[in-house]
Parts: sequence; structure tokens; C-alpha cells
Amino acid sequence: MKTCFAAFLCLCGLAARPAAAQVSISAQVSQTDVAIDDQIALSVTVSGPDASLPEPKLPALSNLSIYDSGRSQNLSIVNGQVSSSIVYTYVVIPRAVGKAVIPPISVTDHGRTFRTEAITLNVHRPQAGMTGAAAMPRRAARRPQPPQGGQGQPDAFVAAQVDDQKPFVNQQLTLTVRFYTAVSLLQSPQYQPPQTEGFICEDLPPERHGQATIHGRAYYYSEIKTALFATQPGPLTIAPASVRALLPQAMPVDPFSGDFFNRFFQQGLSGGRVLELRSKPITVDVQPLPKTGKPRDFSGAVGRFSISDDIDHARLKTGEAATLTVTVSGEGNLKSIAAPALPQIAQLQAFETVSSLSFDKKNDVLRGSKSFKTVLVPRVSGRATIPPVHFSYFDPVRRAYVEARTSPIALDIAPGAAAAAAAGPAPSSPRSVAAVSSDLRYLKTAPLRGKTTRFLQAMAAAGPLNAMPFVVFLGALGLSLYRRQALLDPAGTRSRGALRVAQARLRQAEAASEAAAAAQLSDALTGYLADKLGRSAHGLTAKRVQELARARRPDAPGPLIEEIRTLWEELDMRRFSPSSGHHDLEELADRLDALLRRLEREVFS
Amino acid sequence: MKALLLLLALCPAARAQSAAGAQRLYDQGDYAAAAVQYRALAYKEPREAAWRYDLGNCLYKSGQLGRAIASYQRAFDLAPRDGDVRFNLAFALRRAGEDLVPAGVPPLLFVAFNVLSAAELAGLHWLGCWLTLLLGAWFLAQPKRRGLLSPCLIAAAALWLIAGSWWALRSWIEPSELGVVVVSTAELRSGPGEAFDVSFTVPEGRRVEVLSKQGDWLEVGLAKQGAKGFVRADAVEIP
Repeated sequence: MKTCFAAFLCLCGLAARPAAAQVSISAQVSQTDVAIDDQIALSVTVSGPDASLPEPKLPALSNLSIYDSGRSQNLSIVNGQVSSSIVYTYVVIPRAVGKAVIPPISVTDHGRTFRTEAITLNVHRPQAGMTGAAAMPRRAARRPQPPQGGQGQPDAFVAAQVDDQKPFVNQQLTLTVRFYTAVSLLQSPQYQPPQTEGFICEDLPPERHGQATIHGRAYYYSEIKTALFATQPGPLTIAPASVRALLPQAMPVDPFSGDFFNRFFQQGLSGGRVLELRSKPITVDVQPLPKTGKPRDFSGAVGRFSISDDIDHARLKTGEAATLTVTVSGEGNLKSIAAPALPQIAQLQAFETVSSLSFDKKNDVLRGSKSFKTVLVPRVSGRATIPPVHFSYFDPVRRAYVEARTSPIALDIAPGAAAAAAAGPAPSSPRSVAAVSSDLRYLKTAPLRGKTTRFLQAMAAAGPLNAMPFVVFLGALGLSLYRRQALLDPAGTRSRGALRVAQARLRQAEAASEAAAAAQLSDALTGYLADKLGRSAHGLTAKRVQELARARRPDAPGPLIEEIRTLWEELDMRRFSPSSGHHDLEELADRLDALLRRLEREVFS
Repeated sequence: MKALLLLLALCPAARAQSAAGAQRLYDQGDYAAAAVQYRALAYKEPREAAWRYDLGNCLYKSGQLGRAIASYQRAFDLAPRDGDVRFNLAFALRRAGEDLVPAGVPPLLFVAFNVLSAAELAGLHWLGCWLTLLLGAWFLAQPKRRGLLSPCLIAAAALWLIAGSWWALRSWIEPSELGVVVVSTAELRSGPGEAFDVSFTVPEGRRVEVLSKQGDWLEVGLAKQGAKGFVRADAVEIP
């Protein structure tokens, strides 16, 4: 989010226009004294505080021909302020001797119009002895040779031809249209260029003139060339070019004869003849670009190109801007070349790419260069490398795709000042952490599990062991219930535990001394009977026990009740007069054990 | 490989050395070799999230997005509180066209709900169970100390209840078994065999719920898309 916000601020900065800043326009020519049909360069510069500037409007020019020759743009960001300028270059060719004026050239921005000063040119005839290509045809045109044979040949005609019948898509195709005349024209002919649907056209100035002899007849001709770039494969037709010319009536007039003026005025009186001359249509078979071997980054460039890159300064600080210029040079339709894709550079933030175009048409071939300027702002310090920029094109001569690439550029980036590091137009904004790239986080070099996690994982994996607390709890619950029951019914509890207590005393008696053993056996019997009868053992007599036992179980066997009394008295005797051996005690213990079991079963059940 | 595993089992110091060696291989860019070592460590210590996380990094760097996500998912299941694990899983899932936090769920709620792993929740549940029952037994056995034991017993019972409810809720909401597509495009067929038509295709790295297993085929479902079908078992890795 912070990155987006920073980028937003930067973009806002690029788009921001200070209120005081405005567009300016200026124009200049390479020379103001120029011979007729010679060429001069007109440069129109539009500057302003914006990356996108309006295009100037050329006024109507009289006696001057003007041709587009490309443009170049410069963009700079200084302290977050954007400024740019575009230089439009034109080729101007004078058509008449005398003063020629280039009127003010205007540009309109946000409703306001800015204009250049008018430029006055002094157009003169070519100097004596000059043998320029432009001068000769004109002189020759004024003095066409008289017909020399060639009977049956037309006085004037238009011919069109192309230099290649099977060009590739976007390959330059030169169309030449010639207007031939063997007679003097009564006024300037009107040329109508051909319809070229399916082609992108580019004029190839200047208009040329010359002489030619065709089938024995001498002609003066004017030639206009146009560069065509097919936009689609398949057959494409160039429609006829037409010339509307006013020729003299068909009567023998020799411009070089002595009575030329007499005949000329005669013709003027009788009027000329208007001819609508047309060339033949031309059909070319445009070849598609081969599909095999087409590079991934191919964007349609056809011709012969090279690519280079440059940066205005390779040592800079974070937040400072550097301009990377990638230039594609060569022959071909430079206007259609798209910006080569810049590789992603994590340490650098790339801003809007602007292009500038510069080309010439020497020898009727479009060549020049197209530059792409990208402002790069380092986000982090350190060394950074701008990888090679790739550019692919199709070479129609080799009939193959070619991949050109630039050389890598190393940048040395030092930490910038706090104000500059904002890398945007808001130097007062607080510095923030900026995301440079996104990648996985690094390895864990130590185990993550702590003791608590290990313990909890072990608890979770304990399995059946986790049943243990349930067992413990159930045991405690049972014990608790037992105790609760004992509190509520102490007599019953005492009665139910009587045999267990008595048997415990019997076991204790086995290990005790003779005197103690007799006492234990006696206490076992009296204790058992007291517990069963719910009485205190103290003061309980054998007779009373018999009575209570009979009362409890009237159908109890008589010998069993009598055995109680017998054993009671024997045990008392042994307890208080220990004279018999230990062997008798064991027998008494066995008898007591048997008695207790029988009582439990037959009397107290 | 067996010898390496045996060595790891015998000597913890060797494990640490192996981790360091794997880290060196990773730093040198030999991700495949590093992955082999981290996989051995993860095999030895299946409950240790770090090795799964590191293995995920190696797999991601070597271009195995699906297997990397499966490894990160396992690490996340083991250590959901670790920020790096969560980040890398979300990072890899984004590349596979999926988000870690389900749509419509506030991220904070997602983090809070997954602050404890399922194993930790189960452990807390059993810990609460032990404490509650043992304190309860003591409570029953020692009536005289009930005043002292009551707050502890209530706290233990609360722990048991909360952890148990949380664990049950997680088990109910989350897929019983999660799988990750590890081939570039997995074809979901209408039945367990090549003879059935392909109903859907699922890209690599997408998490699916494994519903059943039938031989070499898994029945999987994508709840969000409402898709269900059979896919070859080797096309899906279960973390």
C-alpha cells in the first residue's frame, strides 16, 4: 500500500503542472537565403512542463513545399519538476523566386494559443555555373527538345511504377510517378496522388525533373516518389495517379522557331486542350512475414536496424533521476517501431517512456533513428545493472528475423539525501519503507517447535494413555459415593464390612504372639458380632449375642448359635489364661473362620 | 538415502550439520540437492515445521509450485503463528491464483482462528481433560480441600471446554484431508478411470479437498467452484 501511495505521488508529480508554467513555441530555419528547389530545415520547438505536449499546426504555405522529417523529445525531472520539449523537423523547398514567408506556427494548449514569429526566406535563382540537380530539370523544362521522330507518341502521359512487386509487410516500397510531356504546358499541371489503401505513405521529396527519350520522342518529365509500407499481406492495388494538364492545341509549334511568339498567341486565342492523364493501376503481392523463427518480442519492425543504449549518468544517488536512452537506428518504417520492452529492474523505478524520431530520406530510403527515453529513479543504494534491451526485426534482404541487443549498463547508486530519497515531487513527505521486490522469505535455520508445542503435540499423540484420567476420576467418584453411603447408613456399612474386618484380624493373629493372637481372635469374634448386631462390643455377652441372633434369624440352626457361645468362652479362656500351645490357637482360628462364614451365610445374609 | 536417514536418527548433531549443509546448497542455488536433504530432515522430524518450510522454499525455487505449496501447507498446519510460514504460503498460493485468507473473511479473524495448530488444540483439549478429571478426582477424594480446588477445577474445565470446542469447530470447518495439485494441469474426471470424461481441469498449486480414495484415483472436490471429480493420485500431494 505504501509503495502504491509513493508511486501515486510520483505520478501525480509527473502529471502536476505548476500554475505559472506554460507551453512555449519557437521556430528557426537552417538558412534564410536559399536557391529555388534547394532544401532547408525548419525546426519547431514546443516546450512545456508536461510529458505530453500539443502538436503544432502548420499554416498554409504559398510557394513553399514542406515535408515532415521527424521529431525528437527530451524529458527531464529536476527536483520532482517535469519539463519536456519536442523538436519537430521539416524539410522546406521553395517553389518561386522572391520573398517567401513562413507564417507564424501556432500551438494550442488548454485553450490558449501560442505562436512563433514569421520567418522570411530570400529565394533566388541558382547561381551561374551551378549544376545542382534541381536547377537542370527546370531549365530543361523550359526548353524541351523538339520532337525527334516518335511519331504517334502522345504529347503527355503519366506513368507509375514500383521498385518491388513482392514486398513483405511493412517493407519499404517506392512508388515513382512520372508526368511526361513533350510540349509546353499552358499552365501548371494539377497532380492528384493515387489512392493507396492498405499502405502507410511517406513523401520522398524533392520533386525531381529530367528528360527522357521514349520511342524516339524527347520528353520532359516531373517525378514524385512516395515510400509505401504495406500494412497487410495479400494483393494490394495502387490506384492510378492522375494529372490534369492544359496543353496547346495540336498544331505544329516549334518553341525554338523564329515565329514562336506569333504561334503562341495564336494558340492563346484559340485556347488549349485539357487532358486528364492517368497512370495504370499497380497491383503488388505483399508477402506475409514468416511464422517460423519469429522472436517472442517481435513487434513488426521490418528493415535493417541496430540498437544502442545510453544513460546520462551511471553514478547517482537514491532518489535522483537518470535518463536511459534506447535508440533504434536503421532503415525502415521507424514511425511504426514500438518501444523495446525494458526488463524489470528491482532496484529502479521506471517512469513514463517518451519517444523521439529523427529520420531523413536520402536516396529515397527512409532511415534514421527512434529514441526511447525512460526516467529511472533508484530506490535502493548499491550496484545495479540494467540488463540488455532486446529488439527484434525482420530483415527482408536476408529473409530472416534478427535479434539485436544493447550492452548492459552498470549503475553505482549511493545513498541519497533524505529530501531526494522521496523520489518524487513531494520532498517534504515523510520517508517510508518502500517495497523493492517480492520474493520468498529465507530459510529457517533452527527448529520452530518450542517446549510448549512439543508438550501439546505429545499430549495430542498420547492416544489410549489419555483414558487414564477417566479411570482415576471414576475411581474417585466411586470412593466418594461409597463414603457418602457410609455416612448416610453407618450401621449398614458396619454390618457389610464386619466379615472383612474380622478376617483381617484373623490374618493379624497368625503373625502375632500367642497372647496377642488370642486377643485378636477374641476381638475378631466380638467385633464381628457387634458390627452385625449394631451394638457396641463393650458389654456384649455371649448370651446376649445368642438372643439377638435368634431374634434376627429365628430359623437359624441351634448348633450354630451354640457354637458362638462355645467359641466365645474358649477364646476368653485362652485370652485370659494362656496355658495351651500355639497349636490350639491355629485350631481356634480355623474354627472362628468357619463360624464367621457360616454366620455370614446362615444368620446375617 | 537410507544411510542418511539412519545417520540422522543416530545423531542429533548430524541433523544440525545436515541442515547447515542443506542451507549451503540453497545459498549456492542448488535447490534440488538442498530439497533432498530437507526432505530427509522432514521425514525424520515430521512434526517440525521448519524443515517443511525450508523444503517448500527449495521446491518453489526449483519450479515445483504445487509441491512447494503442499510443503508450506504442512508447515502452516504445524506452525500457524509463524509469520514467515504464513507469508511464503500466501506468496506461493497467490502465484497459483489462490488466496490464503478465504474471500469475505477478515484477515485478523483468520489469523486469530488459526493462531493454534490443530495438534496444539488437541493437546490443549487433552491437557484440560487431564487437569479437569484429576482435579475432579481430588475434589471428590478430599472434601475438606474443595474450597481451594474449586477455582482450579473451574479453570481446567473451562480450558477443556474452550479447547475442545475450538478443535471441534476447526475439524468441522476445515477439510478433513487437504491435497495440492502438483502437475501443471490436473484433469478431474467424472469417474475413477481414463474412460470417464474430463469434467474440469485444475491448475498446479490449487488446494483440493480429498473426499475418498479408490485405487490409484482420488475423489476430490473444490468447494468454491462446486466442482467434484476423480483425479489420478499422483497428480495430488497430500501434505
